[in-house]
Amino acid sequence: MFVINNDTENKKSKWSLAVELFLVFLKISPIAFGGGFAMVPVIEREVVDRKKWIDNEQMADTLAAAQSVPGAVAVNSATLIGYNINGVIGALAAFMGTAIPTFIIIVAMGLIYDNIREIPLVQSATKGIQGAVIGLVLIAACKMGFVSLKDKTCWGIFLAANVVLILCQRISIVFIIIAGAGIGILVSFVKLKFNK
Amino acid sequence: MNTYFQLFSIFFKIGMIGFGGGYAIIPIIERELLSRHWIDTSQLTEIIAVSSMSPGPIAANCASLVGFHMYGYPGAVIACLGIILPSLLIILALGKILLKYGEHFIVKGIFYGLRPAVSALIVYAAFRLSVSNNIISMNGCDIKSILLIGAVFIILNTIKINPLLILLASALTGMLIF
Repeated sequence: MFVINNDTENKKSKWSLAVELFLVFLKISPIAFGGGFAMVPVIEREVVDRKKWIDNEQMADTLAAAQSVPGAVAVNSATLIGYNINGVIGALAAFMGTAIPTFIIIVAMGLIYDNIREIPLVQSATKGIQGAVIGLVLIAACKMGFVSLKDKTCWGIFLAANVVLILCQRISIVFIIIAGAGIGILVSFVKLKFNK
Repeated sequence: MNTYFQLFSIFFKIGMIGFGGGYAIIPIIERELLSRHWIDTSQLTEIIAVSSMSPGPIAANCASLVGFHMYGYPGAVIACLGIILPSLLIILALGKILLKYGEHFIVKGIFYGLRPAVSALIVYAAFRLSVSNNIISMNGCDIKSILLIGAVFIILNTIKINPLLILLASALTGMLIF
């Protein structure tokens, strides 16, 4: 499904392609603020437009697959692209290129924050950020809701999960995820039976 | 060594169930860490704030900061690896299958049910964050924060703006109003 489009890419050795992948994602990753999706247009620009490693349709498939795997969409997309262009080594190269810069930056930010956390102004700023984060979370919920709440079953699962989560503080989140997936499969089977 | 392993395995577990992107993970992180008393609520607030301001997945950032807080640089690396390794391993194991069977009826069925559940988790995350920070509580509500949350929500829904700018603006606003 994923074929390297460029002839010159085929001639390159596995390793130099891996290094290229690493560097491309190393360059891209520091701009991924506010949630992985910010990085996606940049990935498209680099990987689809400039390097021509994959085309738009493959990019869309990659994004869809990346959301099926737990973890950040940005990292997953990068890893998937790396995997499909250059196998396991490509996946590792893209993965590390994405992860290393952000790791270094967050540790640095943490150290800086440790030194300024006592300042009252900083504490007020943190309170402000906290509010913004909740706003961002609500927006993420809306976006996800738009995509996922397609019919009554979906709404049912959504509302039931909300009720269970709020009332039953001890419930395992893994349980909710498995329950959701399970109900999804069940309902799909039932629909299939009905349509036959 | 035992403690490093425990750090790694907790974050590995968190990383395994992190479907639906960064914010759905927050209540999971909160629950796992607070119940073990690794950090307290105010530290978690700071960690989430700094993680949001930093590029990269919020989950990985939180993990790195918690790991650093507990065991310094090695802790940061171990926790970060723990939380992002599941994604890598799953992709390496299923890479070809993912793309081939993404449209398969069973996979679609799973996500048909999983996505609403994840949406509920994200809403729950907002709820938990509000409660932990006493924005909503039995004694009343923090009106300033609620207005700020509302403003952010409306602004981001109307105009396309880099979330980082919103975060910076909120930091400034916070300095003024709190």
